[in-house]
Amino acid sequence: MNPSPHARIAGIAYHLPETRLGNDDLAALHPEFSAKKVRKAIGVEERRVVAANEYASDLAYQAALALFAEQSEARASVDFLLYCTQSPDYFVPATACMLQHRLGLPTSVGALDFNLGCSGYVYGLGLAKSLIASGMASSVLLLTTDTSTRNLGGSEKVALQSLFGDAASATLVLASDVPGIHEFVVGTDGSGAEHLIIRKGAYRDPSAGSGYGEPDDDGRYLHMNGPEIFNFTIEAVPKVVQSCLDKNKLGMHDIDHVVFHQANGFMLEYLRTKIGVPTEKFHNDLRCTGNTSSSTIPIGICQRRQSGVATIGQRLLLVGFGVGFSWGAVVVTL
Amino acid sequence: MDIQSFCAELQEMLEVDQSITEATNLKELEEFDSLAIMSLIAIIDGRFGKKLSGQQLASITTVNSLVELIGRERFSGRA
Repeated sequence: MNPSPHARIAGIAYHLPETRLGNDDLAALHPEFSAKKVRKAIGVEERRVVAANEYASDLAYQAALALFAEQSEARASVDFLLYCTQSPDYFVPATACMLQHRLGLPTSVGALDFNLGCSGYVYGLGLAKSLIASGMASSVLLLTTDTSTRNLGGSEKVALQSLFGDAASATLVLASDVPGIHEFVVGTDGSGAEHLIIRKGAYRDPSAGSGYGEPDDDGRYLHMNGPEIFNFTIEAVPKVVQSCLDKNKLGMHDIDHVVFHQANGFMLEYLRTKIGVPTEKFHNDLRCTGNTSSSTIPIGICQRRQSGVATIGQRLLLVGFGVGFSWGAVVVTL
Repeated sequence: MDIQSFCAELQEMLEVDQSITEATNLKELEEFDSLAIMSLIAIIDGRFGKKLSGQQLASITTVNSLVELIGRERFSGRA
């Protein structure tokens, strides 16, 4: 058991790649693309896209450096590295091991990759809290990162291109005498696996496919069944929110900020009204990033901190849901 | 809600100038894209508390077919 068995979030930073893909850029490439519609319906103005020789671990590396700049003792004291990605550098070894070396972390650290997307940050906080509670760690570096823009089938699929962006985040979770990460609710429904999937390239279907062709049928790229996913979220998310509040013995009035996984603006606004969260508490901001997979929640927290709307000591409800289908919710105190 | 109001709501959602009636073939409308389908899911969930599966949504042709999927008995009044 850890003498300080609780866990708290000590700091969060994020990193976006340089190249911007704005709505006007997409409109120039695709005559049928409506910038107005995308802005209104999804809420995205621009997304960031990795360069040809830039990978998820590069983004994560930069995010970690940004975090270390704020938390000067972190690099030497981190004793566990959790790396959440669905864009591994290689199948073997875990990218986390390579990052230990690249970041110059002590060789006494534990390090592992875990493969989740939309729900990844919440699960990451859960793993970090558990490592601390068990005494296995006292200072956890949680990295989230993805290069979703690589999986979209290039210029053939403007609908997908308009949604997704690349990013990484770094969070420091420390052992604490006072709890800062409270109770979790998680869930999984693998019957929805087929609705958000990249079929090819791993073991079950290693064939790489040829060129772009019909990206969706090719299976090399992301297949996303929007209606099925939307149906899932409007069914599952309100229940998860209630379960999490109940488990934490709180009501929505006790929560200062609600940060859902930022998948698309329309869906977020619909969930907000369905669940009944006041607008000022509810985060809905994909304008400059698009959907950045497991980084949307930590980026959302940073955005609210940077704008001054969220302050230390406030309570946040974080809810991640999507690919898997997988979901998780937790209440944290900033 | 009655079917006429439902048609008006669809017209507003799709942002089309033409008048939407039960006979309108939604599938043939350029505006009936993936974003419109999302809005439709929200309308049906919000107004009727009903969820249509991906398959059912893909089978929609005319507004009439949509009304049948939702269930004509859920609409008030006469069309």
